[in-house]
Amino acid sequence: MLYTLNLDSDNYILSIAHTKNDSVELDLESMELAYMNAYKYIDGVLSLDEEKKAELIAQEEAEEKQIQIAELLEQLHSSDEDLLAFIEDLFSFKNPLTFISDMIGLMKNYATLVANRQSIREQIKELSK
Amino acid sequence: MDKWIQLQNNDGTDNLYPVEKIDLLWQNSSPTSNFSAQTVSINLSGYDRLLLVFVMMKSGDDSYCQGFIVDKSHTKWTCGGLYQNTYVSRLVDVSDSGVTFGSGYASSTSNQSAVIPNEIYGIKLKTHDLR
Repeated sequence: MLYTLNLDSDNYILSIAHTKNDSVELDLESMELAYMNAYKYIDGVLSLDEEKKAELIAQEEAEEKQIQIAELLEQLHSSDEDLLAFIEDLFSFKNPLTFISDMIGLMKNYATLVANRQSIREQIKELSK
Repeated sequence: MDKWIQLQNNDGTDNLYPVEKIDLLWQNSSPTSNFSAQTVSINLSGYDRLLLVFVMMKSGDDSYCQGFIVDKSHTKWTCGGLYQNTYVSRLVDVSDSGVTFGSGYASSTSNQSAVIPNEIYGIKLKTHDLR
């Protein structure tokens, strides 16, 4: 089928489209379209640059890690708010009759919170390697 | 039968305007591939407005499209919207010789699988004067 190619200055494909001026014969089914930007089109010949493909894969993985780190930082931020709520709760008035059970409950929550924050930090450290 | 399009007037109100023609000028043949910043060269001199249709986020089979009608007299536009609580966007610059798409963004992070151009339609109105 005929297509219109948009190429960068090094003849790598930026996009493949249908327009009124389609002139390039391509078989899209035979292409790895996930790595379209790694294909070069020079003098009617299409070729896949394996080195550029590897770069794109590495870039994709780095972006994926960046997204995961951003999500974890968001979780850490939300856990900061939980920590503040815990501190407020700790210094709030306690009923003497339920003081011990209230404090045990609070300490359990605190232990869960600390473990959760530690786990988030470790995940961030692992992703940052 | 006339075709009509709803456009915003200069005073912010909306009106229906008669359309002379709507042409599909460019259609992405691989809308599930990442789309890096680039200029798509098309002769747009015969059109007053463009309808830009985007795949807002490429995510497996779960993709959805959104269209934006842009006025050629304002050249720079940010086309964006919410996708799963994340604001995704792409800057678009329109001229008579084509459309320049900037990088896609998800929140403030550059993401070339966000707001992928899918179709460009040229719209010529029967009247050029908005209220």
